[in-house]
Amino acid sequence: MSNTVEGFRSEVGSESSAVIYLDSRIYGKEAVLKASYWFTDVAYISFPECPDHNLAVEIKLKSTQPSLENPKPISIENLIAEFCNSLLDFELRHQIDVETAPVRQLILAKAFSESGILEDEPPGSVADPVEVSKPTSLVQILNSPKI
Amino acid sequence: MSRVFYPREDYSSADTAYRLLPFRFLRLNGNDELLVNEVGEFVIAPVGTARTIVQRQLVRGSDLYSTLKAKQFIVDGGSSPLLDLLAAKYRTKYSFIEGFTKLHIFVVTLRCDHSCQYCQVSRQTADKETFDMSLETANKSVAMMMKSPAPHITLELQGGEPLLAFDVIQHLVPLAKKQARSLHKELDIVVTTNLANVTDEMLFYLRDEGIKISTSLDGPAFIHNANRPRPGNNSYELTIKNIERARKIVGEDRVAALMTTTKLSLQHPTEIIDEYVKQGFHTIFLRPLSPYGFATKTRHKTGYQLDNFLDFYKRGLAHILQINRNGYDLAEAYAKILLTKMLTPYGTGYVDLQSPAGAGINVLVYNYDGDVYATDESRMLAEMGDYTFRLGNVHTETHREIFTSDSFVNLLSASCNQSLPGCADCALQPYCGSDPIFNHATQGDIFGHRPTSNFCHRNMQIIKHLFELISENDAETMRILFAWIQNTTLRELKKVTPS
Repeated sequence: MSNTVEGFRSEVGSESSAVIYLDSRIYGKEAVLKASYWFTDVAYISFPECPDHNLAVEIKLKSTQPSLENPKPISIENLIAEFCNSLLDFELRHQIDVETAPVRQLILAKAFSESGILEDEPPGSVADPVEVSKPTSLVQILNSPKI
Repeated sequence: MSRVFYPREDYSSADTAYRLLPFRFLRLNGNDELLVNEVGEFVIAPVGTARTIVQRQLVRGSDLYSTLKAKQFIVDGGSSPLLDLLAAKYRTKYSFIEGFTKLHIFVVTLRCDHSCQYCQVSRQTADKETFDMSLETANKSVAMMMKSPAPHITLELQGGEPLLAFDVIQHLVPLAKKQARSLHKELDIVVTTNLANVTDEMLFYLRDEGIKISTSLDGPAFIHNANRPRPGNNSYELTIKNIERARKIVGEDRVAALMTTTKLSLQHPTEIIDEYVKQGFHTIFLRPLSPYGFATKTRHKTGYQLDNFLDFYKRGLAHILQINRNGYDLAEAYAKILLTKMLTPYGTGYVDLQSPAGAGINVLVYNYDGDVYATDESRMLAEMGDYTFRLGNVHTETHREIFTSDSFVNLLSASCNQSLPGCADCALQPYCGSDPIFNHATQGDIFGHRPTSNFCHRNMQIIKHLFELISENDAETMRILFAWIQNTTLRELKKVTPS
């Protein structure tokens, strides 16, 4: 069975295995890894190489038969559907992270600047959270690859 | 409250002029999405709202836009530079870190007259010399406690049954008080006792020294005596009788009780809660069993137990709310801790649900033999032969060496849920904590694996349950919850906020 939505295609190999192919122009590696993490309780997940630089996620369910420990094992079809939803959420979270990381860093720097570990109050503002206008600022120093 | 059905127009046309501030989101149930900003302020809105925000589909001037701007999820040209305000809120939320270790637990003896099924450490038949804290160890432990930079510290006297080593307590108390005075530190002292062996002489001493009592009450007799066996099988009767004596001598508000939930307890939430009401308590802590020493290596064995606990907790909480509605003030302690984080700008001093984890940073345990542990659970692990979280010994290591030990540094690396896999993106992160020792004990790894973690599952379920209660927006329920977090009675709160 094959299922396709935009940038997302899945191929079910058996009742316990499937491969999901993702368009790397739409889905980033970080979101894929984070979404995958939350399914590692019910499945073994690996990332086989994809020749066209897209992303492939190979899923093998740990159990398909009901047992005392796991009376309602998830089906491979449901897992693919849940994975798809989760991936969309993680992609969105990643977007928020990327867009707000400098501001978050500045908030933390300001929050703890009164703890006495910094000599000067970080002066950044919403308009210039990474303090581009001030290369020697705390944010710039913290972002330096030398640290 | 934050539960608002925003009109369709709020989502209909784009206004790209706003910028995002850091926030996280998760789905609460089929229809609702929980949005939480960096300092724990939240909005409950229809599923898809996060995407609407990110895609700049919010309409300027709409209710949702104004709410998100006021709660600092977004910022626009009209916003003044509010980062300082967010920073101040963040600092307030994490003010529990300030001062470093505040709670110092002294295990004055391992001896105990009880043989509780959930205790790993007591020695019922042990001799005094071997398992009591020596005076030399007591002196060194007090000296190390005083090295803590905290201006206000709490000394918790624990065991075993600490009153069996009353001579050690009588040595420790004046010593700690004297040193605290000379260092201008405030000092609270609590004794954690089953009260079975308490005498009037001891109670007068506790009263005169201003020492609070924390005792154990697991429920009515058939539960308490089954959970807490002792010779004569009369733990319940002794506890109830001695709670009354203690209240008369030490003071009504100086005696608190804690319960532990066992498999037997799971079937009887209402009976346990009613027992607390019967005994005149106004707080109950529906505490799960610690996993130490129990079969917790596989998820589904404990998952079965955890789901039972969650059912017990939710039934219990509903019963407690009804008791409050009927006119008796009774707070559930765990909900109170979480609600304080969810509904106020403040964090809490509760060491088992903090990030950075409370272990070492906010609590230190001094064992009878001078060994220093990051938490009481670390000590229990050591009793089972696992010394991973033994930080040193008061006779051989200095305070600095304790906190630069490999054990502590290792612990620190997994102490912040802000950077743990699964936690870092979780909308509930500001309300939750990290527990590397729990992770180590249950999953063999201090970082833990969130999808199979009972700590994660339990806290997620309870926090979501509280958000669902909040989203119902029932005026009386909200007043009860606010009475808990404001440490007041429902009657007093109604005077301030009449319906």
